[in-house]
Amino acid sequence: MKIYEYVIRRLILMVFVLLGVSALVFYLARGFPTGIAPWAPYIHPKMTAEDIAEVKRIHGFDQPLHIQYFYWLRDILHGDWGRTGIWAQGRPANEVFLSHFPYTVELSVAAIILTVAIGLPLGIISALKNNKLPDHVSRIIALTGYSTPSYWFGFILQLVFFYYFTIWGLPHLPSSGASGMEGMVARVTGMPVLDGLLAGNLPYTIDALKHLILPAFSLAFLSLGFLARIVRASMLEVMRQDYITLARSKGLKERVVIYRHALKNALIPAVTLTGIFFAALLGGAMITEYVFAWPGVGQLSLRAVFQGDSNFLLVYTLVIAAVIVTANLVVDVAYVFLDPRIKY
Amino acid sequence: MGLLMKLGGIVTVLFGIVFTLAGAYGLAGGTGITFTINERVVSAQEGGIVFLIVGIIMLLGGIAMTYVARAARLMPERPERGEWAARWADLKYTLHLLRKNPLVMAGSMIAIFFVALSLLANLIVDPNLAVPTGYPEFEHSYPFQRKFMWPKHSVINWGPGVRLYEGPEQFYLGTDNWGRDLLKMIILAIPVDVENAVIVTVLAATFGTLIGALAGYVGGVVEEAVLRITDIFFAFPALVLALVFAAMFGRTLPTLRLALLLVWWPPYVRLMRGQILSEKQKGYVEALRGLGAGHLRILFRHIIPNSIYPILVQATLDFGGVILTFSALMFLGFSPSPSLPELGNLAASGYEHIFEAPWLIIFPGLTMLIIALAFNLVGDGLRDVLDPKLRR
Repeated sequence: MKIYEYVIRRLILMVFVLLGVSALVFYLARGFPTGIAPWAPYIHPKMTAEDIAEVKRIHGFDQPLHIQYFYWLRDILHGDWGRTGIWAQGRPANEVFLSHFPYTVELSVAAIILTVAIGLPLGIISALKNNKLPDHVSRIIALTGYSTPSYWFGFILQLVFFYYFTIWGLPHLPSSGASGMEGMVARVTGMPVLDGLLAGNLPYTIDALKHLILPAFSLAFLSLGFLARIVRASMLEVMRQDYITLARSKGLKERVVIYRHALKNALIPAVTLTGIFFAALLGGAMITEYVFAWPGVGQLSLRAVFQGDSNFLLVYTLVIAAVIVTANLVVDVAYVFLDPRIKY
Repeated sequence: MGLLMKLGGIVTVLFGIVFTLAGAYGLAGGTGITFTINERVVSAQEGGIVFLIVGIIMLLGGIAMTYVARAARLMPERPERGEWAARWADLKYTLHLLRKNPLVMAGSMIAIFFVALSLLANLIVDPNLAVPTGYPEFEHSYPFQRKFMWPKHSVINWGPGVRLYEGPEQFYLGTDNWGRDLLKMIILAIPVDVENAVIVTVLAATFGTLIGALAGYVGGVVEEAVLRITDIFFAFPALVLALVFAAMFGRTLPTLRLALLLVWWPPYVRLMRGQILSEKQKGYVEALRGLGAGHLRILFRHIIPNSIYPILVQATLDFGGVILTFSALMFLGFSPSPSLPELGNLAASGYEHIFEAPWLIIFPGLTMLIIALAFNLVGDGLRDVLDPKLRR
């Protein structure tokens, strides 16, 4: 099978996965008469009963659930994602999503940079000193990372770096929000740090970075353990290969063997994993955003769950699912380029 | 040996038949008849049910015994014992390897401690203390007047703005938003979390393993369908699915368990399918087929036992994850009752008061971290030890 045939096959499958995801969420979110009725945001007090019936008829809300799904599909294909409830001022769901998505992207990018910067060296050290003290230490750090309740870690960071640093009179970090100088620079990308850089406003950028540190580290701490363990495992695997023995027997320095010969191949799973992590962080930042009052889509989706707002939830899950599925595809294709032994 | 078992089986079956008939007779015809045993009035129907159950158990037991006896006679005895001896030796070797790893030992000690604590928690602490009726001195209500308080003579100083308690009682970890002793609440919360994690992990692992084994063994359309369904679940951020499910089906413990189950089963399917695919090609499966073994026998008696280790490792690692996700759901507000002692729920009660009562979040979270870490240490060590490449 050629690579493009494989990609096309996967893209077709992707459509079905997305349909499955949306059908599942649609059934869960619309099948139960709790929360905001999906037609409620279209209605204002001056409407007559006929007007309301007309709204319901146009969007198919008067039909059985499985037929409603196809009405919904028709609507989103026309770009109408439905409206959110009062909690988001009844704006179109996709507009609400898009205006907050950059914040989540910024947080995830920062978290993934921290994950790689800390997790990678940790994994390499672990593998090289296998079953010695550094391995045990890095193992504990890694395992603590994924045994930590995410909200708990967020609170600890807030408590120490905001509350206690303030009490002790140390320079402290802000505990919540994405920026303390909202509206100082023009909104171009929607990401505070990037906007500040684009506008050339240094204080704004530094303030945005300060706001970013705690949530990003809190998020990274949970995933760097996974990365470290994967790097360690693949490094151990590579170090057992014959070509490493050959390189050593040629008399190369251990440093050269490790960094030039072993690391290159050991990093292949790490690179691909980072892609999957990024996608997972986009969808998994919910609790961290909640704790740090970060204005991203994760926090909004949490509010949508509690408000019972099916329209926003559908946009959210569908976009996040699309990102995750695409990331998986990109990673699988990237494998072919990174590792010439793999063929599809 | 075989003959004795067979005889015993037949006798048990006969007794079982008699008991079942007697029970059915009592149940059907015993309306209105009562008799007294040890000063307790028992209706004939109640007795009938007991007889019926005992009879059915005896019937099934007897049938199983005769079956085992027949199998023991038909199958040569040596290889059977040899297999179990080999599995036992393998297990002993695994334990030996595990014992050499200090982290695994520490992890399993802590894990065993918490499991034991969760079994004994309701004996150590009176479970009534979690509800208002547990406080008779406060006229059947929570001791609200001492909420968010920290013992005055404690080593830890939380800084300004913290209310200190100077009464006769000793609260080692302070009090919560109802005035309950946080340490006692944490002890009561551990069994709730551990029980949930056990139920969810065991069910998810069993369900996922069976589906995955079926998919891998049957192949074809079934496999494709199962894989595509797991694809859908993998495309979700785990917490979102659980949240939506819990939000729609209400806030009860069974719903939350089901929501977690929905999230945790797909990885087992993939894991097991991969195992089955590699196991299926091995010589022993072909040999079994040649001997005329049935599909079910090959799958359940040979392939699954041979590929169960990665599942065990995954389940151990997932245990901590389930506790964390479960408590996260509770923390976000899906608790069936705000007074339920559960680690995430306890932490949630401190959410608004993080700076005036930090212990309310710190200690429940720390407990969760320690439990999850202990199980992850064991799982991580198991994975290393069971990896055939690293094993020698």
